[in-house]
This record gives sequence, structure tokens and C-alpha cells, in this order.
Amino acid sequence: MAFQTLNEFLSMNGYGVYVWSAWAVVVGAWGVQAGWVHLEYRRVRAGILRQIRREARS
Amino acid sequence: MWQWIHKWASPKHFYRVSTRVAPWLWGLALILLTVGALWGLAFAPADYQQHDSFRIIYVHVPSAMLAESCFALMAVCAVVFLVWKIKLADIVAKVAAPFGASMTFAALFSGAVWGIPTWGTWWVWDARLTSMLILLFLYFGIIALRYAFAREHSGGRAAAVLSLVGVVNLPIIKYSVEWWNTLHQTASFSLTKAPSMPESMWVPLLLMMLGAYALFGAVVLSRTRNEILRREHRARWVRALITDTCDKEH
Repeated sequence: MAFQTLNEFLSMNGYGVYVWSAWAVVVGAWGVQAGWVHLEYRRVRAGILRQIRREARS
Repeated sequence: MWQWIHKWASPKHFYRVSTRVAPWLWGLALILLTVGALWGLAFAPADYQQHDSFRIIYVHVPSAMLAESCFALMAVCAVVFLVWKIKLADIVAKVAAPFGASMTFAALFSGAVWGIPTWGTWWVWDARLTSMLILLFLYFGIIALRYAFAREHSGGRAAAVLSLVGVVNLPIIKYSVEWWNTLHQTASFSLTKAPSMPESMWVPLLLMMLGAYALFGAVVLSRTRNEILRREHRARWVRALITDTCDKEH
């Protein structure tokens, strides 16, 4: 381990604000992309199901 | 050969194969990114000059490489779509664009944040940074152009043409640090040279890069599947598939 304490790890020896903000934005972008896939699938599936039901009724 | 291409260009075949591949890619991405992140943040030694700010490299390099690779993929898809009129290529290009734009923004942001402690400034108008900013604008332009047309096919064609025009920016980004005198350092990784970093630093970087590419593959495959469902919603196989999954869940 490159750090002795949790505080040292979080503060990154004074560079914490730079390191964590950069990581937050990049990992956040990956997370948004991954989340988008699943939300989009649910939306598309719900749309197709709605159409199937509508056509079955008419 | 042609039969093979047409088999793969079939949305139904692509959907079936990607259903099996995508979960593996998601799992691989999760494992590689988790191990790479823990190693890079907590176990890799600090750089002797940049100290712990160097740990930004583990997200900056993968996002920058993805930003460029994504555009290259879109350019290949543009050729396939314009020459052979394969719709699947247009779908892949469409779903890849927002991912590429977000990675370009992430690379620019992480680079700017890294620049503050390293260069003393978050931005300089040097060749590498400016060409990356142009890449971001190209992504925005391609996304906007696609939705500016009422007909999906016309939007796809216009976006493909702009992707082909914009691909000229990729070698400029790659060689900008060699052609011009820039603040940005040269490539961290090369296929022809041994890494200049010690193993304890470059192995986590390699894991993060492989994990990011696995994530890219998983996102593009999964979003391509969603788009296939949307475009083929009238097809019998799509309706049967959606009804089956709905029945299984209830």
C-alpha cells in the first residue's frame, strides 16, 4: 500500500482535490453510460409492449 | 465472404450473438476496472516528480484513448454504411457517438485538472489540447447533424460524411506531441517501445485501459441491441422476444 493511513489516502498528500475530482468525472461518465443502457432498454421494451397491447385491443 | 458479412449485418443474428457476448464484457469491465482502480489509487507508488497527482493518469489515458478509438470506429462504420448500405453500421455509429463525446469531455476535464498542479495552468492552446477540443466539437456536430434530419436514413448519411471528414483530426491528435512543441507529454504507451514507467505503475494502467475498452464494447453492443429493437419493433422476432421476456419476469 502506498499510504499509511486512510487520511493520507483521501488527501493524496495534498493532491486529493485534483485526483478525486478527475476520477469522479471519468468514473461518473462511465457510470452514466452504463446506466443509460439499462434505462434505454426498459424504455424501448415498454414502448413495444404498449404497441402490442394497443394493437391487440383494436 | 459476402455471405459472412451479410449474416453479421443481419440485426437478428447480431442481436442473438450480442446477447451472449454482452454479459461477459460487462463482467470483464467490472473486474478489470475495479482491480485497476484499487491498484492505481492505493498500491501504485507515487511519481517522483508529479507525486500523487500522477494517479490521474489511470483515468485520463483510458478516456483519451477511448475518445479517439470511438471516433475511428464511427469512421469505419461510416464507410461500411455509405458504401455497402449496411444499416447495422449506422446503428453502431449512432450509439458510439454519445459515448465518444462523454469520453472526450472526461479526457479534457481530467487533463485540465491534472494540468493545474503539473503545468500551473488548466488550459493552454497547444496542439494536443486544441485538437482534442476540436474532437469534442466534432462529436457534438455529428450528434446534432443526425437529429437535424426528419428521415433517419438521411441523418445517418450526413453524420457518416461528417465522421469521414473529421477522421483527419485523429492523426493530428496522435502526432501533435511529436510534430509541434507542446506542453503535453508524449504517449504513455507504445507498441514498439518498452514502457518508461516501472511495472507497478504501468500494469494498473494497462488494466484500466483494457477495462475501459471492455466497457466500451459492452455499452456499444448493448445500446446497439436497444436500437435494433427500436427500429425493428414491427418484426415478428422482436415482438416474440419482448413478449417472452415480459412473461418470464411475471
